[in-house]
Amino acid sequence: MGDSDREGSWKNTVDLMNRAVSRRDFIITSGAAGVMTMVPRFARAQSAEPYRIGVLLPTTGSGANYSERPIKILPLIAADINSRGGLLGKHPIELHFRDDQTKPDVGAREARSLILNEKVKTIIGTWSSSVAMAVQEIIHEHKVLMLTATSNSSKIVNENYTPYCFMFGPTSGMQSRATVVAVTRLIKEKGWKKYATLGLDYEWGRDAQRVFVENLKKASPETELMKELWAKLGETDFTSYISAVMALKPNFLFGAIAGKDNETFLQQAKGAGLFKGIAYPGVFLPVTELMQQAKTLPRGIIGINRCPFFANMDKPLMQKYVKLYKDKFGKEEFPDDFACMYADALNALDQGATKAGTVETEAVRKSLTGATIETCQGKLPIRDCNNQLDCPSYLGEVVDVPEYPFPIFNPKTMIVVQGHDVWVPTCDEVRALQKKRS
Amino acid sequence: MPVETKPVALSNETEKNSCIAALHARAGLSGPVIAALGLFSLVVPLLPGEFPTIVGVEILILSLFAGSFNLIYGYMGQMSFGQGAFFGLGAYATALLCRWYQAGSTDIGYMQFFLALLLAIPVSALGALVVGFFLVRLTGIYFSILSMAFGELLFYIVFSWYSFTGGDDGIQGIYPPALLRDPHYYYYFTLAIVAVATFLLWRISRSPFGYTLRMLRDNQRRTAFVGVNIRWAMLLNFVLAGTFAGVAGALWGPFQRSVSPTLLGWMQSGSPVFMTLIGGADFFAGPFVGALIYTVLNAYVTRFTVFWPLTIGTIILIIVLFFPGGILSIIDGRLSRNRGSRDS
Repeated sequence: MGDSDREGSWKNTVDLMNRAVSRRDFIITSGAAGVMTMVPRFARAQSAEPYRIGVLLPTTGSGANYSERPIKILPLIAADINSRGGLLGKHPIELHFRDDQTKPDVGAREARSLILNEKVKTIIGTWSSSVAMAVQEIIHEHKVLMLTATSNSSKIVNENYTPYCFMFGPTSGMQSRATVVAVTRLIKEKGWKKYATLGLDYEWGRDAQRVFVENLKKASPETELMKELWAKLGETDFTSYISAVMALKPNFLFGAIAGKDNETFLQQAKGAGLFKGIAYPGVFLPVTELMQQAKTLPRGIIGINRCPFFANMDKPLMQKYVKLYKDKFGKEEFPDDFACMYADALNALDQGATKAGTVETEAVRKSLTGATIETCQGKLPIRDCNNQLDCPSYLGEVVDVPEYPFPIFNPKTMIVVQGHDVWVPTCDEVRALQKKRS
Repeated sequence: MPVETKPVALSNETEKNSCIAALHARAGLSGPVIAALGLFSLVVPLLPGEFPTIVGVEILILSLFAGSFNLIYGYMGQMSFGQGAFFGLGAYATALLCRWYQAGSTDIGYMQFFLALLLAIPVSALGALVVGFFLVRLTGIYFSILSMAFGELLFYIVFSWYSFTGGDDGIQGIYPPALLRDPHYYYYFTLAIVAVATFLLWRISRSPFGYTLRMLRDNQRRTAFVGVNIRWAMLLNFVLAGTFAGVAGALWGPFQRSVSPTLLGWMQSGSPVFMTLIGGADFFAGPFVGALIYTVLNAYVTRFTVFWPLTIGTIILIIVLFFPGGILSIIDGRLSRNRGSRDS
């Protein structure tokens, strides 16, 4: 394929991105995302070698919903960096997109393909934690950087830790402990005594539930856990679980449910009147869900998310992300948590290369470990013992506001729990978990 | 490919002779195809770059997986949608023992590694024995549905048993010994095992037991009438197929460095079905050819389009609609025509 053909493809891509976003367009633009950021390469024949990055996110399956906006924002951030000449002003970024199909073995193969065929130096992704951990083995072996955010099992930075992997969002453990902080406060305020849990029966759900229960027991030992309920991943009928919870009559229900399952549960629970008598704090409500369920989401429930733009509009980088996104995709469009975290990841790579003065992997890795970086949530340090960004979790009551066409967390009562308050307390404890590659 | 029960009606000598001729022709085609694949497989690591070797390992393992499936489908005439369960059982057996030997590190000795691989044989055989005990009581669509149900059952056991299997996360860090971490060495190691397994599969298919399976496929009632214990034969075949799938699974974990419950899922069970359909279920070499095409497409199509499921789906649709016998049936048909024209 000649260069003119490629540039033609790029023009088509931009045209598509400028249109209203539909599912069809998303697939096409995501497929061509890599092409878009190749353009500066042709415009700058004198540039040094391009810096190739693999983007490993699912465009099919349940993960596609949370991967759409990261796939759309990454070319914008790459183009922004490339407008300055790329990394170090001379290494234009090339993005190579692959669908990991939310399958660990496919993720591993695609990671190998990206490393061996496309010669990528960094992989950004994935959505599923199991895929992320399968990919971790590959990147560790090939000594390639991995920047992850959406897949957030605590094992990624602890038990399965590799120094080449960096986490740009709070882990499931951090989020659960953050929920405990908020719930403990509510227990005191509202005099709650009993609760039940409903989690999805897979790693994230189990992990989130376990950490919540263990920590709430420490923070509020008198609060009684009445029952643990587990729904299978992909459950479409929560009726029996809702009935069981309503029969128990707890003061509150802790839910470890995400994605489409979360949406399904919320609609069915709302229809059954669950939220009238039982509080539901800590439900995972990223901006994606707030936008997609704008009309149906029950108001008043207390959600948690990872990187909401509306809580950080005073930060210059967040303003930039929102502007870039709205300019490209329309006034009604906003980047979600995942888009912002992955945008931060790419910007962190830029900062790491600048600090190292080179794009060599070892040097960039060392420069990022323990560094303080500029993010859309302000200046945040990366923990030197496990490469975890010290990023907060956000909990708040779902309310309508005039500024946005969808509900957000109540800015007046929103609780921001800092990462260092809820992560594994000491580096010695972290290292005790990191036996595998020690 | 729907395998229907075909009444054997060899009413005259001419028809009988033509059937035998066709059988010979098919066996004759598989021989050169397997030989050609074998020769090609020897030089794959010499191709430029490391990635073709990695894809080559995948092809070898999945060839064995598809070959094991075809013992049930092509030879016995039953469609199993649960073959992935035994692939996964083999993978998990090896992974769990490797993890135990590694004791939290990534180091493992050669003997320990080979023992971990060997463990897949009894584990997958036992799994297939338990599942097969129930399955062989049924045929046709009931066999297929129950095989799928058992597959999903095993999937959910592995998926939910966090303390033992790691649940949804699976098990990571399943490394082979130092030398075999090099993809080229692992490729030849896998090639050796797959070659032996393929030879055994070939012997089984050409043995009296193999012809009993064909007889079962064609007419179960007549098979029983001549004194064959149908359930015993089906169970033995199911266990053999499960064991070969387990061996394939055992090789998969150390190659990917991890295992996950998806290896036991219905999508994994579907892949040997596709491979066999693409290659041709009526040929011993069919699943091997199908595995080659399917894996190469999967590995390389994703580089150029996100529409890979559409690509694979279209190819399968074309084959099922226009070449229901698979790629090898097209070649076989052409060769037969040439032979016919020469004869005439």
